[in-house]
Amino acid sequence: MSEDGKVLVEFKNVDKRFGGGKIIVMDDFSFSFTKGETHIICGRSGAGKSTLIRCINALETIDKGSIIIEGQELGHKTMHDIRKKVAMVFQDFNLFPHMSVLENVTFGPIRSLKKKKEEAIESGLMYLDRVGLRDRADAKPAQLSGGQKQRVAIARALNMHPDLILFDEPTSALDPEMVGEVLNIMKMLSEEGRSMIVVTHEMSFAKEAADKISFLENGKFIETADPDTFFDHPKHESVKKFIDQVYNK
Amino acid sequence: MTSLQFSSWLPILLHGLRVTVLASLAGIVTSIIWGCILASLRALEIKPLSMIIRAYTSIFRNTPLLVVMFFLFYGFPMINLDLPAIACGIIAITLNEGAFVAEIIRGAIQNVKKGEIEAARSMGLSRAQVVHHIIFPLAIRDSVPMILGQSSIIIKDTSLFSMIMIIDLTAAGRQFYAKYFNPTSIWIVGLVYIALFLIFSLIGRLIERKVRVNR
Repeated sequence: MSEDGKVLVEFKNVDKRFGGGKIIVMDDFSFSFTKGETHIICGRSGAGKSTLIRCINALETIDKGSIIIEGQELGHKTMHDIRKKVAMVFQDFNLFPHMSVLENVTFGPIRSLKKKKEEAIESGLMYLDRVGLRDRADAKPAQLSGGQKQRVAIARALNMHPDLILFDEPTSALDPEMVGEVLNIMKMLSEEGRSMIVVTHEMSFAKEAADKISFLENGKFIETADPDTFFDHPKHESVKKFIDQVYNK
Repeated sequence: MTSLQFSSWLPILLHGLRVTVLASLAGIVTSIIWGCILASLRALEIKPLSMIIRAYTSIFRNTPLLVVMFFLFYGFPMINLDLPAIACGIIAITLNEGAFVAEIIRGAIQNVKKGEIEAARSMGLSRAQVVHHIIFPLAIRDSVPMILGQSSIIIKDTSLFSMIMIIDLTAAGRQFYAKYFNPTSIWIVGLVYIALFLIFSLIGRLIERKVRVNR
């Protein structure tokens, strides 16, 4: 990608709290994400990792500060435009149960991006092929396994031709034997140089695929580093502990 | 009931049956359409609009259908609106039963998974598009069994048509009784209603199977 190095997402002094201010997700939080990177966000459960990436797609609102995506400040007016460029893959897949696999994949491009139906189908089938599910194009989501559903969800995200894909714990709802098939596709996307922000507990995936790993605690990234540094020489005590618990178990 | 009495009554019975079947179908269709409109407008979550619809549903769910029917039947001529009795009856059913259908769908809308709605929102669709393509189609499928139940109530509702001078199935039965003081006709009418319900529920089950969404 020729524009690598360009800042895609920027958080500027963002505050976000829950439960009457008791639970801190972001506290004067600043962060910038560069195009073409795979950035993994980890942290203890309840730290607010999912909330953080959901803010990028305006599925959550922030209390203070600003989020700038490709030069546009995220707000009520720009929200729809930004969502068209930022795709999301959810923990629970969230496929549309009344639509076939192919309809799921073409729905966004046709209805939101106003693409021609034939065009959306052509690219949709191409992406289904890439996740290995072209032959299930006519199936309904209920007929698929969890891993297959998530692969369809990834194809659905790709068919939006997004500038950035957010992954919100994409393997957490899967049976262990299906985690690999989803991670493999994510690795492939990462190697292609797609811009991805991933919340995950899959530390071996993080080690292999990430350009950067951040650890969220008390409303801040207390550590951000490349995988080698992050795993071998973490600066913070709580990151060390976390790695010991999750990775070196 | 002699065969002579029966054969002179039969045309009235058939006329009544026809009126009941047609009025029921019309009432079911218009109530469902009206209920869908009300429910989708409410799903848009525009405050003043939701408040109006809420007031409407609570008024019509709590007013006896017969009162609404009388109100239209005697009220329309006062504003120089000369509608046939059958139209008054169907409008009354639509106003009342539409409110019930709207509530059924509203319940189903609240049960649509938040994640499915978020998936659509995260693609940049407007609220109206999300309602139209995701929330509404899912909710309507989920509410089919209850809408079918409400529809059989509508079939029964049409028996009130006999109160505004329409010869429906009920009125046909009463006419025979009034002439011969013989309640056999009421029995026959009752059996015809049961037959109608059986046919209707059979069709209903086919529809239900067709639209069900597996998760």
